[in-house]
Amino acid sequence: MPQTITYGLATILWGVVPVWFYAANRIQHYLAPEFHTIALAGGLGMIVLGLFNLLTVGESADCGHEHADHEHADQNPFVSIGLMILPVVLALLWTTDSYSASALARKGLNDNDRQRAAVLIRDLPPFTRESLDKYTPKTEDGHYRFDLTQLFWSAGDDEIMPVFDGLPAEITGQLIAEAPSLNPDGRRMRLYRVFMTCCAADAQVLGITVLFPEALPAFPPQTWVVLRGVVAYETIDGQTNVLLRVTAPARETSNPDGGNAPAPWQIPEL
Amino acid sequence: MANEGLQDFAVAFLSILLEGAPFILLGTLLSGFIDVYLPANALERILPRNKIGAILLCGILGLFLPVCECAVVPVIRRLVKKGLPVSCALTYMLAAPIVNPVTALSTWKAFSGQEPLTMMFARLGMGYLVAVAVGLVILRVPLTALLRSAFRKSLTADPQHDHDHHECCGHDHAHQHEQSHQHPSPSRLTQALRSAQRDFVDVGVYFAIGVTITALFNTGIAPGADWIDQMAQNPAGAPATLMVLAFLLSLCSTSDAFIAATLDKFTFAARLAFLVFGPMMDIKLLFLYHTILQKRFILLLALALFLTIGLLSLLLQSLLL
Repeated sequence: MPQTITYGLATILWGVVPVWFYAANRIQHYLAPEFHTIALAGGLGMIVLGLFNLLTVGESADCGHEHADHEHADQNPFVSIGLMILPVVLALLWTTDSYSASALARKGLNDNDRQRAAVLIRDLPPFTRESLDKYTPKTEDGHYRFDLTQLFWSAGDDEIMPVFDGLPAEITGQLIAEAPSLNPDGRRMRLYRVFMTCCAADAQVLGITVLFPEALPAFPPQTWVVLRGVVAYETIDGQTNVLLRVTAPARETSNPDGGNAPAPWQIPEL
Repeated sequence: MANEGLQDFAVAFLSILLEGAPFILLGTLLSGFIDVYLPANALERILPRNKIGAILLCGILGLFLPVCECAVVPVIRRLVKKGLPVSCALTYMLAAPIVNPVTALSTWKAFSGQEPLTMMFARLGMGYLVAVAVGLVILRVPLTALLRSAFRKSLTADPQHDHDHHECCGHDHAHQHEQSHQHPSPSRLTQALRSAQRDFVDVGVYFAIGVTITALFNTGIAPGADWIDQMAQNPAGAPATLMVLAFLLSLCSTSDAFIAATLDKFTFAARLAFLVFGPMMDIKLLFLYHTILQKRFILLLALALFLTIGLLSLLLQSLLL
């Protein structure tokens, strides 16, 4: 009976985490959208399973232990519960719902590898200014509302770059300090988006360089902002990268997609 | 670990846990209901009497009973207790996460524009062949060399009871139940859900350990990215590199194709090896397998899978491309 109770409580604790994260809208930081409902259903299922077993504990044997198979009699159930619960509790205490700057760097913040894009866009029809105007919304004063991914993938593409180069653009993303080695004049920052295939463990970070005309904005790291500027490209060490020359003060915003950002390999509509 | 390290570990750990736990629950619920509702030795009666035929059939059982690698372990634990031969169970365990409709669909979708059908059929075909080959080898291996002693002992108990003996009560629970206690008899649903919960915790413990290690690797693995890139075009090194990566990342078989599809610097063989080896052997699976299998056997299995899948991938690449 004590084993049924402790196992039930452990099962409920595991179930509470996804339900809590879902209800608090924190789950978007951990899972891709298609897994949100699965996690919620799983969490509810764990809670129901644990509660059911707690409520029916009286139906079991009353000699102080569990009567079903004892294949793990060599394991102390309390040690097992500790191993199951302790890392979850510690992770809940330590998490800030986002990776640190160094983890973002490890996951590609400063990388500009676009070979994958070349594979995906090779079969698309010719890209022209007309097709851009047809599919890309604009602000009232004529700034193209690009996805950050659009700009990221455009760099190095001989067909797209001439169309994008010099266009006024409005981009939304999270702002973070540029790596010192990439920021010789101290006026650069990096605008990035985090994309998940399934969960944060497989996240990829896509970032572009933004150049401010004067002082850098004083937002806390990883703040969501809207930036307006002019699209440009620069070549560093043989690699062509996109550079947004900022022309207006950065405006703070919230995550525009609520965690429903497209996967990084999806080519946005052009 | 510095504060940043703790923060990064926590994010990776919780994300993998949130993604995988529902599938473990699914597997353990299935396991619980199999425990109570599937008559003992029913599978033995359904499967062909010919052992090789039974193994061949178990390799495609995932098409009808699709489970990912997190869920498959509790299911086969229960199936073995219900009389499924170990060789068949391990064939199903290795094949089901790959040879199932969800994995097939995700592979086809992820490789859109990159010969998706070739990759999908190559993956399912190789997954099936490797799992069946392992099953055929296991036919010749004694259970004492395969199964953990605790699990093996539980198989020798009365299958109708699934009980072992209890010294604390001073009697044998496998016999003369009614004379010994006047217990209120739990309903079959209660028995099934109680069994599911036990399996959930048993597997959850190992899953938590595996996820902890995976998260530690995951948040620190990128410094080796340059080295990984250098290996991309190395004919023999590329499959080995991606199999090691699959082992460390411990991705779910239903979604790992989306990662593999982005590794386009790598050869077809390397990505195929990633997609077949990962669902059969990774860090979290080491711990899950250890609920059933002996450490030595798991090590040998990992080595055999690594070599077989690596060589088959290279062979298939030379034939197809």
